[in-house]
Amino acid sequence: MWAYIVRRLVQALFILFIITLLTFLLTHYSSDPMAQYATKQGMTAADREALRHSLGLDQPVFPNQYFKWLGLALQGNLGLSFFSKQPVLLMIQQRLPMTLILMGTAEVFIIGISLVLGLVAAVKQYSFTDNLITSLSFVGYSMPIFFIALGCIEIFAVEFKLWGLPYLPTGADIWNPKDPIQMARHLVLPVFCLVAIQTAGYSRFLRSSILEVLGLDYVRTARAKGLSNRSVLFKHALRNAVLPFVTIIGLDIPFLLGGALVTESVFSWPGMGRLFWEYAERGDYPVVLGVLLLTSSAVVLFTIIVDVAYTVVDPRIRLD
Amino acid sequence: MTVNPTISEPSVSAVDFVREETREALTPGQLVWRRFRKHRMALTGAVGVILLFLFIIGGSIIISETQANSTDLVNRLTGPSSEHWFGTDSVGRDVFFRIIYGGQISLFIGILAVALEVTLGILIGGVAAYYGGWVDALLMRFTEAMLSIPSLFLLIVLAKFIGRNVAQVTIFGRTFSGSIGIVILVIGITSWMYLARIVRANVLSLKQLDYISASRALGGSDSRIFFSHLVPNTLGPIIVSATLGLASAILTEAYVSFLGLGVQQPTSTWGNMMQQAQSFLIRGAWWMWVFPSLFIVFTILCINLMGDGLRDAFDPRSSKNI
Amino acid sequence: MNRKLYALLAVLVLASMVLAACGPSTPAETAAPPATAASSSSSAACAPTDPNFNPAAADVGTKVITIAYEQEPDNLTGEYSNMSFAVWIDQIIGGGLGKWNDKNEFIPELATEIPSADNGGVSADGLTITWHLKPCIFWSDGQPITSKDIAFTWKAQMDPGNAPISRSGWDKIASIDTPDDQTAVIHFSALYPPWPTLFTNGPNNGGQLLPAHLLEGKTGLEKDPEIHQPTVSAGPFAIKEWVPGDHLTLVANPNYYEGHPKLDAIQIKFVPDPEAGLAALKAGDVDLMVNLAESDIESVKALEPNGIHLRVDGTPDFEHLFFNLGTTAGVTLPDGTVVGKSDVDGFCPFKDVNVRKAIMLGIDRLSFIKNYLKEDEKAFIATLWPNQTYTNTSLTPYPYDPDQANKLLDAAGYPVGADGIRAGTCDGKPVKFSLGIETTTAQRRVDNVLAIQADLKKIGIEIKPNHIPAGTFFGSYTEGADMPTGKFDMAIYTTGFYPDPDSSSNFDCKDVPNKDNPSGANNYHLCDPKLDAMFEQGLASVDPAARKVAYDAIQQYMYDNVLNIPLYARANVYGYNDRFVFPPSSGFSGWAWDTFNFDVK
Repeated sequence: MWAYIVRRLVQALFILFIITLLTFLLTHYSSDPMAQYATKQGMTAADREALRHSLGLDQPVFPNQYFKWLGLALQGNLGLSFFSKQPVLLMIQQRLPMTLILMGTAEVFIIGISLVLGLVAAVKQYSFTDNLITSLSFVGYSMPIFFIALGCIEIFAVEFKLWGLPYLPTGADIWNPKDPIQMARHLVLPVFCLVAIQTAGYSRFLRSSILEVLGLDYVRTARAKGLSNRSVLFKHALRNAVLPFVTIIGLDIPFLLGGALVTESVFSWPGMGRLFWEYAERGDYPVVLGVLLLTSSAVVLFTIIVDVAYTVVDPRIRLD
Repeated sequence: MTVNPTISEPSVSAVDFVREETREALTPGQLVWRRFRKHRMALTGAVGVILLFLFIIGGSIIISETQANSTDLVNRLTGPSSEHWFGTDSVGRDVFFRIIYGGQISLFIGILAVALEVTLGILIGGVAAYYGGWVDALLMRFTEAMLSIPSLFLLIVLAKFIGRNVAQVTIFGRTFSGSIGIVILVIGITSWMYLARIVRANVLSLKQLDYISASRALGGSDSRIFFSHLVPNTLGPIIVSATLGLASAILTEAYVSFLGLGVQQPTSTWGNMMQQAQSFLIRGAWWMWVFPSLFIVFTILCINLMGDGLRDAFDPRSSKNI
Repeated sequence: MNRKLYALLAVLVLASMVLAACGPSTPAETAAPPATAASSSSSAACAPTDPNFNPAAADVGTKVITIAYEQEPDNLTGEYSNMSFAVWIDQIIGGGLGKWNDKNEFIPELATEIPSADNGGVSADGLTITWHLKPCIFWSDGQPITSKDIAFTWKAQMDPGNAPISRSGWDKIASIDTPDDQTAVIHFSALYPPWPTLFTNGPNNGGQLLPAHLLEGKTGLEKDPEIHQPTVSAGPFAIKEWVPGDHLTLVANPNYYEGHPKLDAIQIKFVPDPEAGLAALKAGDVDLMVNLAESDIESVKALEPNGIHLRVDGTPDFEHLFFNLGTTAGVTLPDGTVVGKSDVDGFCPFKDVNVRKAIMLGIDRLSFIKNYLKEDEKAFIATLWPNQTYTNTSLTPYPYDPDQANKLLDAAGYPVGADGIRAGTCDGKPVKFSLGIETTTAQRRVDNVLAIQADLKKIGIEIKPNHIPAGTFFGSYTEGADMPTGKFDMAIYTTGFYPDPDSSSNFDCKDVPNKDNPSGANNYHLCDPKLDAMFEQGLASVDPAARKVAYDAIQQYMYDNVLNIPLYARANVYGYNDRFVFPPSSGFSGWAWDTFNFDVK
């Protein structure tokens, strides 16, 4: 086991190198930091050349620009943003707590609710309840979150307030995140939206794998032995049905760090998704690469954790 | 082989034996069809899909594409009326007509993209788990790399380099930029990673089961074991992935096309109709997004019902009532 | 004469301070010894209202408004940011010598008056500009604002150790004399008619005074925290706090020369989604929304029953459709030199003025304004300098006339083919009128291109829309972007030439981008020596009246030759609620030029 983990960590370093190189190249070809100066009045060609030089853009992307970035990154220095000239690490640190609060809360609810829904739907397969859960989760899944989010604001924040009912904030108000009550009030709608769209995926996977396991011989044997439905479900079926579930959670957790762009935008939440997108749009490579380095490291790390978790969930699985 | 002590050894009960005996007379195909038909829900789903295809193909016989694309700035953003059943969009085009034509292209792209996604997911995840060792390491590190690279950047770069240099193609008698092929490819190759990881996890677990080991010992070929034992036992998550994948593919298409690949305005797709609707939400132009999204929900609901039916049909053990 | 006015002002200021009578008694130390009568009188008795003012510790107060802001500024010093969202904040916290008011007039801010030939501020040769600062004015920390700050600002801009966005104009200054604390004499090495844009925070330029007492001796200013988030202000408000990604709080600056502004504080909340912003406006969470799009006008109007007001100002920015007029051959000047070479030839028939005119006549430009503005036709423009003093008002917009357009195209030798698309030969090569229009992905542009596509179809021109994300669309030559490398037929974007009308770098031969000049900004790939000469004429004098003649001629020339197609002037659209008192704004000077008079009911 330990040998496996060590081997995976070595592989991780290698794959991170490849990922950073690829993202570096993709970032360079997908946006241009000089674009915003293209039509700037009163700016001469010489000004633009000077700026390109000061941003290091007059160097070849590979190897010069990449290795310069990598060299600094290895020393823990993610560089300065092209535009705000703030240290990228600081910019990430400023956004990370709020991102984790929103995404973490949402993830807890997503996992909890989809566990219940998945179980109920599987146990009561093809019942009215199952069909209702199925339909609602698909409605949530196939509607872009933008519509759900804005709809929630319009109803619970705007109209409720205008009707004089207890209402929730739009998120565009000035509020103090250190106050737990304000925090809770501001979390309700964005968390609800994230749950509404994410739960579908989680609960569908859980439902289908529970059904799969319930059909397996040993479960039927267990039932034949006279074990109660509940004990069959929890002791045997659920335990063996969580592999896909663990997989998805393991894949999703790293991306929690990256925030949720649309939800953050609609609810004016100061999260990483917005940081990433606002700077990616303008071609601020250091910020983009800094955020991506964070998420891809997490992806690589969490796949290792998930693979190890498989052996815990299902000891028959051997990784070596 | 390590065996989880809490799991009892698989055994065939007498009841099962009898049940299988009585069915011996039917061919496997008949068996599948019989089980499928038994599911009212699955049939409902199938009927729904047929109706949907009738609508988008039949509709295009009655309504011409020119009608669906004709702009009318005077009547922009009007709600549903007898003249425009589903209202008009921000340049005065009829939403109902556009759903017909949009459906053709959205379903075409969505279904093919999902087929690609599922194929890649099963192959990469399955092969990685089945062979293990360096094959697993290589394929899974590749999966991680694909997961880590924002597909948005990949899309922008692809759009930049190949977006406009593709020949035209004709589908359903309509002419499109050949880059819709690239859209299918792009959606397919940026969405298989979750499924691959799930299939891998399931196969890792399944391949330790006795009957797989037995097949192997009996000299069953790898591909036979893979496709006749391992894949069918992972069908549940695959179908879920495919259903959910269809919905995301339809919505993703809009974004990819927006970046210059694939279907360009004035050609409608359900995805680009939804996208256009975003800017008119507060103004209350609900018809711009409600109708396309109803169609998307309807489509994936029907396909999901069919998928469930299919899964039950393929899986003889799946119990209906616990 | 000046002196008198000066003294009078000093007395007035003094009097007002005595009347206020609540300022602390300890006067701030003034660094320089008094050099003139005016400054001696000010230093003797003039003192900041609150010599120890610290905005970070200041109270937000009760008269507060919240503004929804779509983008978060990157940097809050205009010299180091290219974002309009940053320039607006600079207009609030930064001090400039002058500013543009709602009537587009250049008025003094920290200066006593605008230099002119009449008041002796502009020398006869136009090379020397003399500014006089108001006496007894202070940074928010209580330090005096003096001519040293003016000289320092220029030095900081030109210091090779700093990386400001642009040095153009600043590099034309040869020296700055500061005979006394209030006077700065700026000597230019060459005539620089846009001199008002230096040392001012304009609607489109950031050139505020930098505080010498905090920044002197530093280099690498672009990275300096004081540049990123200034702790001192010369404007009506100062920064209390900036919570990254969330909001920015500006509190009243008691040491502002006009006194305490009407509001106690302005909260700037970053609301990236305009639809969510409108919802917040309706809910009363924000009082003012700036930077709305023309397509939001109807949305704001729909909120009228909720006490939301709409304001639409026509701006000097305009949306325009233009042709790729590039030639690989370039233009040979009389002396034999070749200029204005592009990498790629534009669509050959565009060389024919009648083809360009046909496209102009074939687009129902009025429909855009009817569509979005629904106001009137004033924004329907004929020129590239709309809604400003330099507008050539004698031009009448080309009408929408598809018949005439068809006639012109037929006569030009491009008949309609069997497929409904015009084709013919141009310079001996077959050409087909199946053209791309390249633009960004904004919904407004998607809609506009659809309308143009439908219009041009009627005159036998097929349009293939090509929407590209802005970061790629405006990309640079070295990145292989389509516009600078000339790989497009037609394109659409918004630009605007103000506060100074000069835009030669967008039009002249030497700025056509090619491998020798990758940073050239002439996206039109237009090279016309006659036009170049006309633009030079516009820069040949510092006299606004003489320049007006030159720019009128340029507009007439561009109009006659249909060098590009102005679609409509852009509008500044605001939504604000009942409690907010919104002083006049204008398309030219924006909303932030007079925050001193912002108020609540």
